[in-house]
Amino acid sequence: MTRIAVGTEKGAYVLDDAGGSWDVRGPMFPGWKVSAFGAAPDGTHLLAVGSNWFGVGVHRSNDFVKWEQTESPPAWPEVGDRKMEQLWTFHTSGERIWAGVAHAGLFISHDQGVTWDPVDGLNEHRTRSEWQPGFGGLCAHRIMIDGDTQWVSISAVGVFRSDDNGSTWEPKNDGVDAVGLPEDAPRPEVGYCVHCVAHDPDDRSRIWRQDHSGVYRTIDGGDNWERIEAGLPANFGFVMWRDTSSGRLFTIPLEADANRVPVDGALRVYRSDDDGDSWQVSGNGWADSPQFTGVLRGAFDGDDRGTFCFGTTGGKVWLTKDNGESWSELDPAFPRIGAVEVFA
Amino acid sequence: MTTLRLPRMLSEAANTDLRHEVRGTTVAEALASLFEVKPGLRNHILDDGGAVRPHVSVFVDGVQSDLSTAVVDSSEIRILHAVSGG
Repeated sequence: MTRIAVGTEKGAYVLDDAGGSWDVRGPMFPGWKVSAFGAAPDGTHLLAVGSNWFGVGVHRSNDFVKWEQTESPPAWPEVGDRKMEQLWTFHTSGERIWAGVAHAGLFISHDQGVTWDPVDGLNEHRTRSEWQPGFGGLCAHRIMIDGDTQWVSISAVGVFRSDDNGSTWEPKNDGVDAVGLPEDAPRPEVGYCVHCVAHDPDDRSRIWRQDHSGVYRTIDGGDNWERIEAGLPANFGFVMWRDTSSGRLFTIPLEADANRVPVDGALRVYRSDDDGDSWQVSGNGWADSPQFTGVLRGAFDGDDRGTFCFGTTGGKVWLTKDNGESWSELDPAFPRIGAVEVFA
Repeated sequence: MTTLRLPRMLSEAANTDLRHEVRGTTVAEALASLFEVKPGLRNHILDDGGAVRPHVSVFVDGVQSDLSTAVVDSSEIRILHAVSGG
């Protein structure tokens, strides 16, 4: 049975495949923005909430029904001007859980998500004073781990890599266009608006990247990036996903930063079967009518066995169970969706 | 003991009661005693700098107050979320 968890601006919902229809449970955390789902090393479910009123919280559950609030979510020191605006992502590797947050930073938990410690090597980086927020804020939104090597993506700042288990970090954005600078301006060390990344778990040096300024890939762990946009109707968007079993890449182009909807309202996932050399519309099932809606970076997820879904800013959920050969829009509608988790 | 009431949205998320008995001579002390019992609430009522969150209001006996406002045993502290959002 396919189960989908949807995090929205106003609570979380769980959708269970009832064979032709979907049983919907929720909202959980009504009124709270549910910004991320995750899993602790022991299998405990994690869920992050945020609220215009009450800030960030982390909750744990064994059954996705009864949730317990943790007492010490990631927090910035009282001294200083950083605000904990949102927890954007969880990433579990081994016995550790990493959390990416806004204002941008990394935190790590060694106790199943109960307590969190800052990753000072990144959070106090020598370039920190040059980090400027983008439209979506100053957020660390993607984390990738390969042994002692880690990558973190920060909107409007760029990709950083650590080769020493998180102690030190270096920006890795050569070949990527900086946003808001003329072509002849000196390349800054930071200021690259990465929106999403995905990598090859069998060769982590291969990474694909959806940026504010285009779509890129690297084959050397981020030392050098090249554009890969052939066949895409636009190079702006927030999604980059790689299916582990097939190697197929997925992205969802949006028209531009000034108009964050599909070109001509044609909401389509695009896929690549050649590592990004070329892109095509992923399968069929797409709406004939215009769909002027967006898809955010946390709102695409899959089980790496051919089932993927994404949620839109218009509150709809789209699903494929055949690795993108056919897509269907589910009937239920929700508030603006920012996070999706597939359990299949 | 002073009575402190939480908004339902917060009490439900924090798995705690709407009404708490707290101790202290100021709102700050009363909140501190609440956080001893429910540490997870601190982050939701106070911001990273230790001030009341911008969109949270504190009332003592019906009067908008701040962390320094004095309270007595018969006081009722109410934590409210401001009229904001969408």
